[in-house]
Amino acid sequence: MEIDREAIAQVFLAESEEHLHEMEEALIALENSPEDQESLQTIFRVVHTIKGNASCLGFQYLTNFTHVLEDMLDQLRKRQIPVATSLITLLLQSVDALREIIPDTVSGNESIQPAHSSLLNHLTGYASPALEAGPSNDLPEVERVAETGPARPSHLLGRSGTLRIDIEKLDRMLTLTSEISIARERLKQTVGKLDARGGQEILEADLEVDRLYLELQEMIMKIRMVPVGPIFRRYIRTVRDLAATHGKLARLDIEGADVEADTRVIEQLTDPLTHMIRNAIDHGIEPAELRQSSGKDPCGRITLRACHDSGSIVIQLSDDGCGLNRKRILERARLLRLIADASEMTDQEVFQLIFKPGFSTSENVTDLSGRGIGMDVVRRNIESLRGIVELDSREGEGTTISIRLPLTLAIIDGFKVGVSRETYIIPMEAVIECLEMPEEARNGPHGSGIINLREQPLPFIRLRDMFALGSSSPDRENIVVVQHNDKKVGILVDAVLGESQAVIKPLGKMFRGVSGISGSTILGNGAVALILDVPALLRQAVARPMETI
Amino acid sequence: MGRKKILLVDDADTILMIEKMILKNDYDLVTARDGEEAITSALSERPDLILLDVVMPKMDGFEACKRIRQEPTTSCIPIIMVTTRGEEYNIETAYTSGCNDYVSKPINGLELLSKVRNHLGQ
Repeated sequence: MEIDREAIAQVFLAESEEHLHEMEEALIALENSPEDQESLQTIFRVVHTIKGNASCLGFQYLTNFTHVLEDMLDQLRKRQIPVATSLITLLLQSVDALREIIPDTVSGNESIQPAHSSLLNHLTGYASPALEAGPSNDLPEVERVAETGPARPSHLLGRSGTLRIDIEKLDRMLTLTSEISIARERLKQTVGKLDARGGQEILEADLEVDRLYLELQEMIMKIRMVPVGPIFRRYIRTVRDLAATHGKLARLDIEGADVEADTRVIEQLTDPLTHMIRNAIDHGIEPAELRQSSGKDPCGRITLRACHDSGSIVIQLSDDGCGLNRKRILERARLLRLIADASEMTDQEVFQLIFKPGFSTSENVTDLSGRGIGMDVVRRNIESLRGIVELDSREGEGTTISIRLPLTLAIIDGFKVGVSRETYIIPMEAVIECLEMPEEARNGPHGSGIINLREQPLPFIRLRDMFALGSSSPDRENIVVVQHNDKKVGILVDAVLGESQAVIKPLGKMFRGVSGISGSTILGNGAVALILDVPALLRQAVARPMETI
Repeated sequence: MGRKKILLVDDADTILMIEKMILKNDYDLVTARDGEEAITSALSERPDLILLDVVMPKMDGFEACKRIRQEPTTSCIPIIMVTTRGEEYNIETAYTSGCNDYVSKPINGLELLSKVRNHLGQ
């Protein structure tokens, strides 16, 4: 009998994290419907399980803590104490406390924090029969409401017939498939050189390998897909707590919890979503009395939904609050000198102003969303994932923000272009058309300029100058017209090399700061190609002609 | 004689792992995560002994124990309940539902091994 305590502790840590999420959700469900026996059973079971685990691992303090919780829950179960909001808050604080106590205990630090023992006292007090007159409302000072939004997704997938897999291993598998793809390309070239007699058999074998390879690649992509539900559900708590600190009422509804996306995509969504939810509660949802007087449900409704749409995943956050206020946005924009005359601006154009850096119509800098990050950061985050953000709002009815993202960040359909001796990849979804560079427009300053494309001005940038590739341009150059968010720019290249699928490799730390590049890939011949960051190129192209005027 | 097979039933990964570490050298092990799964596994795997947790989702250990006893093909499998220390009042319910023995968490490895051997006639 060999007991590997370290291994058990790691399982305990991961398992507890899942349990606490389960408990958190059940607590909020119980608050919304106090008669819900199933939620109550779940909460009880989770605490009981953590207690059993802790006792087996010899974690004394944790066993005591969960024991007190369990006693209290038992009274709740026997209906000796009612389901009150103050009680739910206390229990949610216990979840937060356990989130600190468990990792501390596992790492060998069993010292007791004053905040936790004060919480424990409250729990004991709440559960003691002496307080039958009713629980007190003064909660311990451990409220740290949703400071950074929900915890980052753990690298562990759910259970019930599933397997926990380290995401690093999946990444490695994907890298391997791209390396196999390179080896295949070389093999193909060799096979092509063989004569007909000996070649036939090898050719057939090669085709078989091809088929197997594609199947393997598809399977690996599938393994990486996880449902959005677990991440979405973590915001239920965020909404509850944020609304409470703001003296408002709000609940979160979730639609499309089963919709799947690449685990890396989902991971990157937490920050933008947290910010959008803060905005919805801070600026969107009205105070309960105001809602009631305008005939709305006093409890604001925020909906987070996901769906698939033609090769993308669409994530929408809607609120039924007051909607964007055109007048206030314009006032703020004038103050910031973002616009001069607004009379001809459409609502949609006005709404787009909230994505400008530094924009916020909030009169008071609030705890919720006034931390100097705005919708511009949300947009930039989403764009770095090759996604787009759209916004729709009706005054008095609410706002919907839609995020459209590629299903995976790992592979893109690329368009290969050549400049000097280098090859670059432009994401196919951004490419509109290719044309030959008109002779008369070829001497733009700063490697950039504007050409006339069917009577419309089109700013362009010359990749050769931008990446300082030296050597002089060939006699004929091509322009690849790319689009992002309704803006177009021409990218001037030597040669257009055609389409190809590319497995994206992230850039090393050294290159993170390089503007205009979003990643790299390995080409069929083994050479490295850089992938162009179209939104960043657009920003530069639009900025440059202005400087030269 | 081949190795005996034990069905471990618990909704906690941590407990399953501890039980596996204690028993894996001497026995073949299969696992189930709740009461319903325990019954299905008992029927399909025909274990020589079952270690059964009490508090589990879907169906608790007492109920699962009763059902396993009612099923002719599984009625004679020895069942050891895994209860929590300090909840000795549960033990009576455990015996009423038809278990043969119990161990308490925190699990003592030697105690568990000797009880298992005992019930398997080893």
